[in-house]
Amino acid sequence: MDEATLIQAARRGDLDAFNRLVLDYQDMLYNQAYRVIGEPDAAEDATQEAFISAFRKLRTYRGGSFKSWLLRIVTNACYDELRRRKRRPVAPLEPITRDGDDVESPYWLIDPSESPEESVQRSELAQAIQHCLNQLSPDFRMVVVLVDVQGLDYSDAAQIIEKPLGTVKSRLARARQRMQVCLAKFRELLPPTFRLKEEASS
Amino acid sequence: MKNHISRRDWQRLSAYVDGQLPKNQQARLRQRLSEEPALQLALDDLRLMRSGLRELPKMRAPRNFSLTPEMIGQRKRSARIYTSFRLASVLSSLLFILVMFGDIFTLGYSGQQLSVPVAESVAPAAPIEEKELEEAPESEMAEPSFSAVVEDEAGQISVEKSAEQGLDVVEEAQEDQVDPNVNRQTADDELPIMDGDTEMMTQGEVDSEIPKGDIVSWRIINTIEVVLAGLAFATGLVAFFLRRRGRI
Repeated sequence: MDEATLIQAARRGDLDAFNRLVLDYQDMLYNQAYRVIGEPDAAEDATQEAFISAFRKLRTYRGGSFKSWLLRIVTNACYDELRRRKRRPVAPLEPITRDGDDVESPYWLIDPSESPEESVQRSELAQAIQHCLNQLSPDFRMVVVLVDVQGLDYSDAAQIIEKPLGTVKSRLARARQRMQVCLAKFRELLPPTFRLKEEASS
Repeated sequence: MKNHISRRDWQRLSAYVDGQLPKNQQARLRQRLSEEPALQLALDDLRLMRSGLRELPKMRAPRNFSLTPEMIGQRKRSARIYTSFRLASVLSSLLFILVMFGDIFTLGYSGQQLSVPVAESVAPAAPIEEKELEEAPESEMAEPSFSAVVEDEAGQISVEKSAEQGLDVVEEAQEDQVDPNVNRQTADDELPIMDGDTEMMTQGEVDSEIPKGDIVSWRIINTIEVVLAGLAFATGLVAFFLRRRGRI
């Protein structure tokens, strides 16, 4: 069944049809939630809440990009989660092995096609980028994740966060500028081409 | 990394990288990029950072987020309960308003209806009493009753007419006397037919008799109003707490 048929069936209350859509989009939604919230457990909660909310609000879907519609719902769920965490701050728990060591590379990030060294390097760069993303305010972070991580264009991002196009441009530019300043602290993690350019400029 | 790029230039570079800069500004920026190495370097840095973000590993869902009937059923059930209570509250409020307005309207109408029969029952007493006062000294009766007045009038009429019409009038008067209950009502005098044992109703008796049934119905209406108001409030309160609990 194609997506439109599944959506129609889900709107009539067909839970199985909706769950097929869940399987198609859960990676994308979890990715969005994780990059915005920065923690896996909270990202899981936000993703689950987003899907429950999406099923209940299916009648409000009036066509267009279903992906954008879902991203809007998970965006709101992320904002709710961030507000909850602001009211009740929690110390982030790092995953640990049986020996009590920190797991620096969570299993869902491991790509079996690359060497262990590359994998570690990529993982550490990803963590550095995520660290810099976490330093941004939620509004700036949301725009960067939508445009640069999810690959959406400005108009889709504006529709999702329900702000004007100019606001998206402005927030994105400022967020990128701050990301660049933050990433400069992790010079040794940056790719060689990046570092060479930096040395040439200094 | 030294960055002397202004915020406005940085915004232009950011939009340029994404192909979102207007065409007229693109040409101007390209010219500046060729003339200002710092600007070109900032653009290169921006492109690298953007590609780094885009190449971030895509997180895979750590588990299956499929919904179960329990997840949806719980919320649906509570949503149905909340909707029912909310509807009950609205309906109770509407009924309360209807009954209240109906009560106010019928109260005014009943008040008008009550005054009419009281006036009708009181009105005939006045002319009867006047006639009693007029006839009392002529007939020399201590407590003239209505039937006595009628008989008196009949007697007087027969005496007056006998001079003009002779025996026919006397016969007429006799017939009238035989049947004292003949109705001598004229167009102007609508008196009810009353026996000698009939007693006139006093104002107090009229007031006490008619409203009793209305008092009972008013009490019933008031009770209904109180019940509806209480129901509207209670169901509205339950709906409010159900909704509040759903938010947490």
